[in-house]
Amino acid sequence: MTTDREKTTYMLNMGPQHPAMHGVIRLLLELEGEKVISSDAEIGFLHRAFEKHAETETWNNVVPWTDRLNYVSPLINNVGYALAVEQLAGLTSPERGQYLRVIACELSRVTDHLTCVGASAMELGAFTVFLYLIKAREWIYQLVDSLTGARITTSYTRVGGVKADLPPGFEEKCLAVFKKVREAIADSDKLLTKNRIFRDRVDGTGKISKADALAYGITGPFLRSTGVPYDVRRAHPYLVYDRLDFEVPVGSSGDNFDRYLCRMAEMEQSLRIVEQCFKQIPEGKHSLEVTEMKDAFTYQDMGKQGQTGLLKKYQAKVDQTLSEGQRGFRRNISTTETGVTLPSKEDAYGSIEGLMNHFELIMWSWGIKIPPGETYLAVEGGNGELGFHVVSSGGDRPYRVRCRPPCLNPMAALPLLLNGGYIADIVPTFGSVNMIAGELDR
Amino acid sequence: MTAMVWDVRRVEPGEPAFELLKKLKEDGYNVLVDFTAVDYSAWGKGPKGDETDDLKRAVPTEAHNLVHEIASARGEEYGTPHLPGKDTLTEGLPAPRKERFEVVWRLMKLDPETGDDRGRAAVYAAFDEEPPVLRSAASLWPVADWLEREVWDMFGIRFVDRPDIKRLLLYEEFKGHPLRKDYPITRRQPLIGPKAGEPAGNPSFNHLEPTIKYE
Repeated sequence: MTTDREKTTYMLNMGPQHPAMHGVIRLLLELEGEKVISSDAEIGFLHRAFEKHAETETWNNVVPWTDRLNYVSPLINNVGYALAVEQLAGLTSPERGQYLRVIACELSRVTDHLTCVGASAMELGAFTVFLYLIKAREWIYQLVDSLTGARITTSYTRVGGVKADLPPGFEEKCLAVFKKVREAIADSDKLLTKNRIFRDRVDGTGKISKADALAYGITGPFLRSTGVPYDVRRAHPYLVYDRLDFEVPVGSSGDNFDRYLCRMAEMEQSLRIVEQCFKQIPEGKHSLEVTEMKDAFTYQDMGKQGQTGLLKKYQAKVDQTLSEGQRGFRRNISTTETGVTLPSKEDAYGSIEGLMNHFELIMWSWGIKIPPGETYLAVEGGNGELGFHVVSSGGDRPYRVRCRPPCLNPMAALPLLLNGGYIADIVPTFGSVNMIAGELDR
Repeated sequence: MTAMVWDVRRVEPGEPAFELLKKLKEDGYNVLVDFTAVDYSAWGKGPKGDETDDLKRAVPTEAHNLVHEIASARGEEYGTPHLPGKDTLTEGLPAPRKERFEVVWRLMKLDPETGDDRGRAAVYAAFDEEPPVLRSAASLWPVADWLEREVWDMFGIRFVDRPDIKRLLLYEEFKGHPLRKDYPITRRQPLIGPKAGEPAGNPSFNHLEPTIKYE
């Protein structure tokens, strides 16, 4: 009888609202004492129908929805989506815009890792580290605020460029903040890396082998902690990453401690990338210019009305027979391939042409038209390869937008990480998976 | 900026996709990057949410029928007289597709030592809703388990060897598959939860069989 009692297992339901859970997720655990025999994860509590909503919004209106995917690194989602749409349309944003996007991405990556390390340290009892790192994150959020106008719901990118150029004095502010962030990271490193209590919880727990990580398609810091130096920025350099010097930190054993070290090292690399961007960033436009083709007679009329400023902006479309010019108003209102960016605020409010152009671009079913086709583009998100699979049917809104959430893969592999360990190991393991429910559940 | 180069493979209708995937796995495609589907039933029928669709959606069914009758008595097609240039709305749109769904597996050859991406492949398969043609790829790449659950959840695409597949993101009582093009975005779902007098129970709780042995 007693042997039977010792062998019995029981079920424990952890989450979806549990203080040690980063997000809303429910773990079903089969326990024997405190040992996890088997486990299963139930996700979807934060499902907001991102992909369905994206099909009803115009191309640019999807950008605010992407903020809500990985809400600790929203700028990377903005950039990933904009790049995917641009790839489908065959556009390339100006060089300055590309550097701005890299700066935005890397700031976001630092906030992502600061949140991950800080929150998992707090769950293991290191509350001071949490305060240090969240304070550092707040400084970066203030930088992001001055760049985009919002701390978290950034919506920074547009198809063809970004919302705005760097604010005045941004570089100086940035470098001053980086000094403080580096101090915070160094202090946290002193508090954690050789701390016995911390090491006892993270060493050798949540271990995954290289082969398993690949079988589950895991990417990002999670894969790099097992010793595979795969980084989308290195394997498929997008934007201007091929001109920037950075290292890809790798671990060796694939446990929680290695993942912590990888993230700590990556933050330093991200800060370095931003500093290099400030040195390399060229002058110029941050977004594609409006170069819409106007019919010759419109062009003439503009000249007659003294709107010479616009003459430089538009190219005349001359047609001897005027057959194109007569053929329905719709064709010349639809913007051509490069006419996808909104005019500047000054133009939109200060001239009727600018206002019309703005109106045409945002008006229902009249805006940007992306040629039919499909594409997949991946960027390196906070958690790994963040992919956008975008399908256009030639309309003013996406036919289908699919987001490849990088934290779905480690979540699918979670039973591998948890089974055989103890309940106490769930906390650091789940913390280092860095599940972001907004991205996982979409 | 260098775009990813994809080795695009298309599975002909009627051919099993699994055999090709298995061959690619043996060729060294060790990572399943993504698996997803697209519902092409609205393809080539004008941009989604254009005036025609929304007019139809905005009018309740009975009123719609009435208006339709009046319009047809007048010899008109309902909806069209109000719209400026219906042909221009569909101008330049792609031709409709024969099969309703298309799924795509995105594969990668990842070198575990150097971290280099040695090539990517995209396997497309198009098919209709009935009968189910796909076999699960979870035996090749275990993450396919969750991705297939999501495809079932969102599109209602079934897998021949996974008859009791479970939804991934939505709850079991959800009616319909929301990423299908015929699922209206405004549809309401019935409320779920314990009714008065009934014991509270969640069917999804018990899918991991408890092994409690009561004495």
